Amino acid sequence: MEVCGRDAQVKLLTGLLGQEGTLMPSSVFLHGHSGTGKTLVARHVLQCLGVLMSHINCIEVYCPQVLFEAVLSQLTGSVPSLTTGQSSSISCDSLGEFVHHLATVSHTLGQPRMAIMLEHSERLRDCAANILPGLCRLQELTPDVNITVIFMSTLSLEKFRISTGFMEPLVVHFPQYSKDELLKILEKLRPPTTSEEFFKNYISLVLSVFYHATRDLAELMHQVQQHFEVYREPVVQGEVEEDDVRRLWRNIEPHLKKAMSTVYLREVSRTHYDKMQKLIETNTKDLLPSESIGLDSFSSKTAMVELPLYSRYLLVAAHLASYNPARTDRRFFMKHHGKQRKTQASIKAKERCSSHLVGPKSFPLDRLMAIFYSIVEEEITPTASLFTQLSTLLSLQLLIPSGGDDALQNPKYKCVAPHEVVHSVCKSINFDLSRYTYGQA
Amino acid sequence: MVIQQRYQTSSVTITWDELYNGAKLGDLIGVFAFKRQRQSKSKNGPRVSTLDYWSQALEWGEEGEAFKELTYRNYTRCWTIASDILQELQDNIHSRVFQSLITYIDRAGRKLTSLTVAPDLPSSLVHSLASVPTACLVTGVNMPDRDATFDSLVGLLRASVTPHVARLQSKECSTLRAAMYKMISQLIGGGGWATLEDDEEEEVVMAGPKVKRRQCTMAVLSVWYREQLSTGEEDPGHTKSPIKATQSPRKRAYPSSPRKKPFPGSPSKLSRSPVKRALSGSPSKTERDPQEVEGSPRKKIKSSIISQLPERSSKPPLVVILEDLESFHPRVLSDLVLICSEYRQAVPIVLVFGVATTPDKVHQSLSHNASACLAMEVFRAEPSTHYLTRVIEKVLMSTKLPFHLGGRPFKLLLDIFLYNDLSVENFIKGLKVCMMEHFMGHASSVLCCPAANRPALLRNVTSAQLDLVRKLPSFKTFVEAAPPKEQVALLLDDSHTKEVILSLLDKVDVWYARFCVLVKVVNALTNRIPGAPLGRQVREVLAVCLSRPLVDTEEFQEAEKGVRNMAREELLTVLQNVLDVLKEHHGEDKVLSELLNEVSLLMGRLSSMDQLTQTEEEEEEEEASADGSGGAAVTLGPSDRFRLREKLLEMAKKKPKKSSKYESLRSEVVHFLSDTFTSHLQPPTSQPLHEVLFFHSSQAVKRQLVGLPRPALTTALANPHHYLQCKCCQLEEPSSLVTSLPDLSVAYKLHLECGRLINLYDWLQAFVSVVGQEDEEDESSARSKKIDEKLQARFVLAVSELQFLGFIKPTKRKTDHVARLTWGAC
Repeated sequence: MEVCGRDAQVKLLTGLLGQEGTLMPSSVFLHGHSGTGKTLVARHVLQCLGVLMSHINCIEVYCPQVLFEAVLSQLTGSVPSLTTGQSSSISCDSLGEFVHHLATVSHTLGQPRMAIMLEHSERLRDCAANILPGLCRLQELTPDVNITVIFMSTLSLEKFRISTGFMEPLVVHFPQYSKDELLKILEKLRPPTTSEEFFKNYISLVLSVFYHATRDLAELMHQVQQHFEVYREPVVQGEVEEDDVRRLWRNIEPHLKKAMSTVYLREVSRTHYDKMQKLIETNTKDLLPSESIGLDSFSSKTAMVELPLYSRYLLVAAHLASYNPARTDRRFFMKHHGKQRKTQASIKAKERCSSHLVGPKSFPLDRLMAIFYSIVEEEITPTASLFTQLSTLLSLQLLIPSGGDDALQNPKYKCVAPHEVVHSVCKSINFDLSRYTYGQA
Repeated sequence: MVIQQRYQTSSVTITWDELYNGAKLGDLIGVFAFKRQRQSKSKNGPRVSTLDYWSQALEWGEEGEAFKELTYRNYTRCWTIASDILQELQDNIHSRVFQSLITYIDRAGRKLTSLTVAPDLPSSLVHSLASVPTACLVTGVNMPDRDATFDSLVGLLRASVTPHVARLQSKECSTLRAAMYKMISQLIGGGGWATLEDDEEEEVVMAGPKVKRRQCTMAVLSVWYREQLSTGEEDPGHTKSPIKATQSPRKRAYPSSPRKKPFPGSPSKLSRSPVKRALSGSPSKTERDPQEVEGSPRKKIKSSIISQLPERSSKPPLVVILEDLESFHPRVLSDLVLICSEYRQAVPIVLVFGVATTPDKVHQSLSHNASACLAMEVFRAEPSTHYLTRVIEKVLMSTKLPFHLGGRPFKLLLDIFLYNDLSVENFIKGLKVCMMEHFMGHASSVLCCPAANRPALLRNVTSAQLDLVRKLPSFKTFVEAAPPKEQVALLLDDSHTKEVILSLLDKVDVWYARFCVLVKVVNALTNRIPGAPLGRQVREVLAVCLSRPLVDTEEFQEAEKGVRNMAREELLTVLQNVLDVLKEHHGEDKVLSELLNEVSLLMGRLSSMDQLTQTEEEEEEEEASADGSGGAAVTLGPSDRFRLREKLLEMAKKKPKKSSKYESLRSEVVHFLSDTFTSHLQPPTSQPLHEVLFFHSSQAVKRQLVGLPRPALTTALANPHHYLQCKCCQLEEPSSLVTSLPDLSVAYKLHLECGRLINLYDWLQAFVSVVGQEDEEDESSARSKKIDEKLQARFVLAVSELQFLGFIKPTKRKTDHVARLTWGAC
């Protein structure tokens, strides 16, 4: 295994852990952005030094017991089985037991050097209060065991310091890869059939496009793999020579530019992506209104939500209630609200806070229903299904319950539906939103 | 609760819960809390059937029993027909999207497992593993339908791709721990959800290893998966152990088993065998029994999807379905995704997200590093409006089903669908309620049965029952229109009447078939007119036609105008559509075939005008130019304004005459069509004996289908007898006060007499004087100053309950007063 561009870190870590037989530091803290090679370096170094290791992802650790048992089973190499009724041969609930078990394990294996690698270790802070300090001082707790704990996190150490029992670990920082280093790493993705030069050119092209948007290695790898077929196509078909970079670039450029909008959105695999592009193209020459709506909703960019009629009105009412100040309701929703006088103060107030910048405010149910009844032109009776629609909106997370001391007497809500959704809903019911919005009317 | 009790008295099969499946009824606050007697749900006990509750509304003494039997049998027949059609639809409706979904899952699974097995591959390939394959199924917001959709999806998956499927719902997954437990226990235990479906036969299948809560870690899962694979490879012969292809033929007893869902949820039947196979050994390399596959249409569809897939791979992926993605806690969701991607090399998991709104929601709720772990593909389920269109076409407009909906109930159901829930399942439930109401509430429904059974049925009809039919208003008008001799025969001669009835009913059948085709014709004719006065969907036209004579409606006149303004090409395409509809449906109906001929003739004439018009136009132009030039030359003088005007008017008059060849033909077409509509598109009420086959009383079902919390509350308080059905609080007058009423009701009625503010002490006095009446007079008079503490406690309880229900609230304006929140004395 080869580690690219992380020589300093490898050297530092090797030095910290020391050669076979020496005592290891009680804990090491590796931090740096995701995709900077923390895990890779740690694994590499530990393997080189011949340290027995266990590798835990702390996201999975919803209770300490999971952590302990996983560590023990990985160190002993035992396999958890279903039939014995226990997840590992050792069952371990608390830190005390864990320390005890570690001692016995170390004894039976002949006192090897052991390491616990904890990925996403920031999650440990949410565990019981004694876990993080306990792991920091694991060596103190287990005098005869030569063990080290390697924390890995994207956060810096400052976020970990807690008042009781924390011991400062040794810190190794992993900076972002430079562009050259990225190039070198991405070159390893080269399929065996293509020539080195050709692939190098391709990678530098991709990097030049995406480097501004993302430096995340995983994302870049994804993009490199996603577009290589398209890049190679003219060569495979024999239209373009392999070293004619300019023409290849002209071929791939629009494709990559389009892909820029979907960086990080793993919404599409390759085939699906192409399919969607095609659909959008055909969409321009639409045939029937109903069909084009179907296509519109297919391209995920248009935020169209299919809702029953009253739900749409309820959503619009909720939107109005959370973005309009309550005192302006009279002006918007009553027929004879009288004339509004423009004073200096009112103009200033408008300037001070555009309600859309401040964000949604919570409103009581009564106000929502009052607005709802006033924007629906026809007379409707408050049926049970009307209220069930409200709870449907809640479960769709278009509205969220907010505060309100009494959820039964006077529940309060907030409208968190995106503006595009509300606008498209308004369009579908021919409702002029701007006429009723404070600051726009 | 109140409502539910009401429903128990009227019909068992439909409870409030079922109607508003998954809805929170927080706003329906129970007024009286009584413990219901526990019903023993032992399987051996007699099942409560719908028959026991049948037609309590009609009482005819001895005749009643026979009637009950007959109408009930008719009802079961009709509902079986309808539910058969519906079941087929339900299976078909999603077949297209399921097909692609399942192919995707299968492909993704294969790709994953191929890499799982060989971990030492070049790094470029390993990287493509980095993402968890995810299918994002956009289902639409109709909550009740979603269950059925996922049921059938799981059934299909089990039958085709993998036996290991887990379904997660947000309500069970509030924490990561709970979610992991749910997921892993379902995967290892072989589908915990299946037990809920049908506990009679599933038990054998459910013999998978039980998982303890503390065991649910991914490490255990990966070990289990490896074991599963190794046992699968060891003894493939084991799997060919005789599978009970069809467990005891399942009885089709929808009406008699009130708890069973009408048609969704049945995929468990098919899914059973694969599950069993999986747990008994390996899921691999089994030839599917051909007999098992053929049979019902449901199976055919499944097999058609399955057959397009390659044989199930020996390393099936694990499929985890997250049904309602929106409601999942974002943190739980992203943790779950991260964990899955962490273990992707050991356990091939494919995720399926059920999204109600838009796929963007996934990215909104997932953290960025979690969403980078997904390779998502979006699938869209058929929108429920399409589904509804199919249901209307196949069920309501079918000739197989003798029962039809009248205008108003149809409108009601449609309104509930469009305005309130967009749920087809609720629509179907509404239809069922209508059907029940029809057969229970209308005596004439005795005759409503499939046409083939009618003669046999009529033979057994007694004269008393026949009299009921004679009393029908539509039959009466029919008799009055008949010649006097015939009238006597119709009223007195039973056998003759029976014959007439038979022929009349047959006529109604034929008429309705024609009616439905013509409705489609109208739709084909008008749905492209700008503004669509008659709507773009068949259902809108149907709703109009069922309630009024079409030609008299404003909408139709509007549409007719639209047709009159059509250009020739437009008219031709529209007529072509009409022709297509007619060709598809005309069948043996004479009128329709004639119509078909006529329309094709008209079309021929229209298209042959092609050459004619061209030459004509040229001529016209020449004429016009000749005319115009001459005229213009004459009237150029400025003094001759009057003459110019005259001239122009004249020209304007001439114009229409000239270009009239096409126009006359067009108006001929319009005339012809609207004549046809006038004669054949009358509402069903115009037909004699329509009461037998059509259900009209929307008021009766409205009470059942549309819940009104507020009126229910006030009724319960003002007249508790309505819900409690007890003898003690029967009231002659709704406003009267009786001692035996519940305290809450007494307090409520007393507070109605007060104004804006209520003095608590006065209220208490009044309360005591009503409730305490039963106590002995002299004792209370002796201690008249002092109020019984028990009574006071009861009063306080009642007042606080009223406050809880939102009728009063405490106020600071006056001491010892509460404020009323409602107005008037109702």
